[in-house]
Amino acid sequence: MSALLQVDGLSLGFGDAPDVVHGATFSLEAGQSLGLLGASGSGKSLSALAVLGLLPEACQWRGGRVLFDGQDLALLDAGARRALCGASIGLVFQEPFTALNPLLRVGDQIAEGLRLHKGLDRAAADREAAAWLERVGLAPGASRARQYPHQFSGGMRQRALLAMALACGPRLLICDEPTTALDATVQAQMLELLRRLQRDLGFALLMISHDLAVIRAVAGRAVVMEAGQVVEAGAVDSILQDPQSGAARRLMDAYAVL
Amino acid sequence: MAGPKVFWKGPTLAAGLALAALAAVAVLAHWLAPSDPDKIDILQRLAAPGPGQWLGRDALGRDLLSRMIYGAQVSLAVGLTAALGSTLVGSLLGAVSGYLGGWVDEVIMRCADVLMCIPGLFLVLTLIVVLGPGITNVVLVIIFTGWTDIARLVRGEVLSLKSREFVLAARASGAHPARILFRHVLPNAMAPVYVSLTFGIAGSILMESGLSFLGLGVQPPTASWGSLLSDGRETLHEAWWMVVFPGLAILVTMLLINQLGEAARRHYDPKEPA
Repeated sequence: MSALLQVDGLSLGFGDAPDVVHGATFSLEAGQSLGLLGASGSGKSLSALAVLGLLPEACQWRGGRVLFDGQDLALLDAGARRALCGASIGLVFQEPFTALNPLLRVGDQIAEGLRLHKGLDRAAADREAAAWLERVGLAPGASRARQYPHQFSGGMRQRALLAMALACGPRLLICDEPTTALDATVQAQMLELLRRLQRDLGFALLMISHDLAVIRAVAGRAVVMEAGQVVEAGAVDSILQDPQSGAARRLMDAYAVL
Repeated sequence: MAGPKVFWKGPTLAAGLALAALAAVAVLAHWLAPSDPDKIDILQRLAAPGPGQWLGRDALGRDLLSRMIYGAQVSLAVGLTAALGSTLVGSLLGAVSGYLGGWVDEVIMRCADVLMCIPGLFLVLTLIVVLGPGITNVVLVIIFTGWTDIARLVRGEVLSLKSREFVLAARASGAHPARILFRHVLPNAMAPVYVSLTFGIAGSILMESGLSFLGLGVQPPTASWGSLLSDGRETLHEAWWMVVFPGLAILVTMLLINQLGEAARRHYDPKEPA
C-alpha cells in the first residue's frame, strides 16, 4: 500500500547557514496517525509547512521530495497545488488567538473553503458551516456562526479551527501543536474530539507536538526529530518505554521532572 | 472586559455633525447662497459686513458669504477626492508591495523613496507649473505626491500580517493570493489608514488653499477659500473681512477634521480606554 503522505529526504535551510531540516524522511498511510515529536526548533513545524507549501520566503528547499497521494508537490504549479492541497489537506495551528481572522464572522471563515472547493452557494455553505460548528461541539451552530472570533474562548476557537480545517473533507489533517495554548481540561476535550472525528471521518492525522502525552493520545506511531533530523521512529509505546535516541530520552526526562 | 468603544460621542459627535452641516451647505450652495457669487456690483465695492451682506463684499462688490459657500464646494471636494485618491493609490501599492515582496516591492518602495526625498512643496509647485494651474491638476498632484506615506504604512502592516496564522491558514485552504490579500490581509491593515485618511483630508484642503492662494489652484472667477484669502490680501488695509472669514473657515474646518482624526486614532488604539 502506497503512503498518503511520503516525505523523502527533505532538506531545508536559510541563507548560507547549515540545513535546519536535514534529510527528514517519514510517511503516513491513509487513515492512520503519525506523531511528529521534537523540542522547539527541531524542524518539525517547518517540515509541516513544507508539506503545505507555506515555507517562509527566506527558506530554501535544498533537497528531497514531498509526495501526496503519489504526486510530487514541488512539480505542481501554484494553481494545481492550491486545488489539491486546499481541499485535501487540512491545517490546525497552535495559537487559537491569531489563527482566525478577527474581522470575519466564524461561520464565514468556515464557509469560505466550502464555497471555494465544493462549489456550494452562499446559503448552502452557511448551513454546512453551522452544521460543522455543531459537530465540533459549538451549538447552536447557526448563532455561533454569526459570532466573531473575539467572542470565543481559546478552546472554542480551537474547535472552530478544527471545523474550518475539516469542512472540505480533507484526507490529511496536520495539527501543529493544537493543544499547547490550552489548559489541561480543554486540551483533553480537544484530543478526545479529534479522536472521535478521525474515527468518524477517516482522515489521516499528522500531529506535531513536543508533548509525549498529546502524541500518545492520538497516534500509534511517531517519529522523533532533533536538530532537523529524524533520530527515531516507531510505535509510540516503545519510544516511551525504551527511547533509543538522546532526543527522546531528554524529552522523557524533562517530562518526568514535571 | 469593557464594551465596544463608541466612536460617535461627545466632541467627536459634535465635530462630525458640524462637518456634515458644512458639507450640506456646500452641496446645497445653489439654494443657500444669498446671491450669485460672481455677480459684480462695483457700487458696493468693499462694503463692510452688514444686513444683506453679512460677511461684506470684495473689491468687485461680490457678496463674500455667497463666494464662501460656493468656495466650500471646491475646498471640500478637492480635500476629499485628493485624500481618498492618495489613500486608495497608497493602500493598493503598499499592500501589493508588502504582500508580493521581491522586485515588485523594490520598485514601488524605491519610487516612494525618490518622491519622499524631494521637498513636498517644491515638488508640488514644480508639477503644477509643468501641468498648468487648475483644480484637476491640483488633485492629481496631491495624489501623486501624497500616496507614499500611506503606502509605507500599509506595507508595514501587511508585512506583519502576512505571516500571521490566519493568513497562512487561508493560504493552506487554497485561496487565491488576490483573495487572501483583499479579504484577509488588507481589511486588517486599514485601522491606521482611516486615521491617516482623516488627517489627509485636512492636509489636502490646506494644500488646495495654499495653491489657490498662490494662484495655482482655482482660476477666477471661481472661488475657493484659498483664493478668497488671496484676493483679500490685496485689500487687507481697507477690508479685514476678506481675509478673516475665509481664514476662519479654513481654521475651523481643520480643527473639526483633526478632532475626528484624533478620535479615530484613539478609537483604534488598544491601549486607550473606551
